[in-house]
Amino acid sequence: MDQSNIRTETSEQTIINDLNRAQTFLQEIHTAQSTGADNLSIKVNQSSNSYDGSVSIPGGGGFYGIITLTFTANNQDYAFTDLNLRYYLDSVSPSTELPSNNAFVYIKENISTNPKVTSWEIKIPNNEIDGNTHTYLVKAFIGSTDTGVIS
Amino acid sequence: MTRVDQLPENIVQEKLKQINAFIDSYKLRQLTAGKNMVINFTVTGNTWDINDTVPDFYNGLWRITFVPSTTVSPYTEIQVNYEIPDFAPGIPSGFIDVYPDPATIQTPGSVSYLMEFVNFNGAGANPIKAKFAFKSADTGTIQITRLPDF
Repeated sequence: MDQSNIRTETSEQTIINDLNRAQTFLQEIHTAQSTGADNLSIKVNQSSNSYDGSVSIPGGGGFYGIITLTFTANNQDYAFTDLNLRYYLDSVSPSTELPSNNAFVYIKENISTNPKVTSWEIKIPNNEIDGNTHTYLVKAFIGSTDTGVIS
Repeated sequence: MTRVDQLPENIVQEKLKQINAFIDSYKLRQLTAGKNMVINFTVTGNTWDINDTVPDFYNGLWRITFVPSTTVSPYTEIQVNYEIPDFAPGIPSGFIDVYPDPATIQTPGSVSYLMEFVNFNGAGANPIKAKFAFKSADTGTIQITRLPDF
């Protein structure tokens, strides 16, 4: 038996199998591939500061203060962002943290003037019944499709 | 000395292995975020999308809808700039709130928000100016409808 012919036939069959496999994979790649679940990478960004913004608000009822927070993405233009806040009264400690559903806090995202920058206006009322001026502090945790800097 | 690896059929086979390895690498988990994720910014050409007035002690209400070009209910973020006059220096004569539209939140397709302007200045009708932008995975258009005051 001619051994060289056996080797050649085996190699040709392997080539055909490889080509079939490559063709199948290419067809799979050409189908729609969804982005979501574990291949969508979301980073939770936070600063090293104990709080990221504060405002002093007079007492007596009806007074609001505004804090502006900014997230500057490292890479992405118009990165998706999910702002989460912890609220504190006068100082940052476990005993001064306010409920995160603090009534009548209004948060809006400002229109971007820089593609890398997302900013929010956080409007906070002084709801303390003692009628005194208080400082409200917020600590930000920003879920985003990019890493970035909070200021 | 034999150079079996130099035979034409073996070279082709090796090349195919390399191609297959390359294709296999495509099938590994590829993270989507940062630079490889395209997010679109949609804004109208108007200076203000809303330039209107609201009667005293009424709430003005608008529906702001992002109509995506191709996808159904894409993830979106609404951005707002606004101007309302001061009742007194440093004290606004009302406030705005923007939130997802409960009437359309379950309807696949477009993405709608409501903007509410609460006019409590006590001195008559109040002007309100507002402009909107959307961050979304899709391009699209912005539609604004004024709903009845309440």
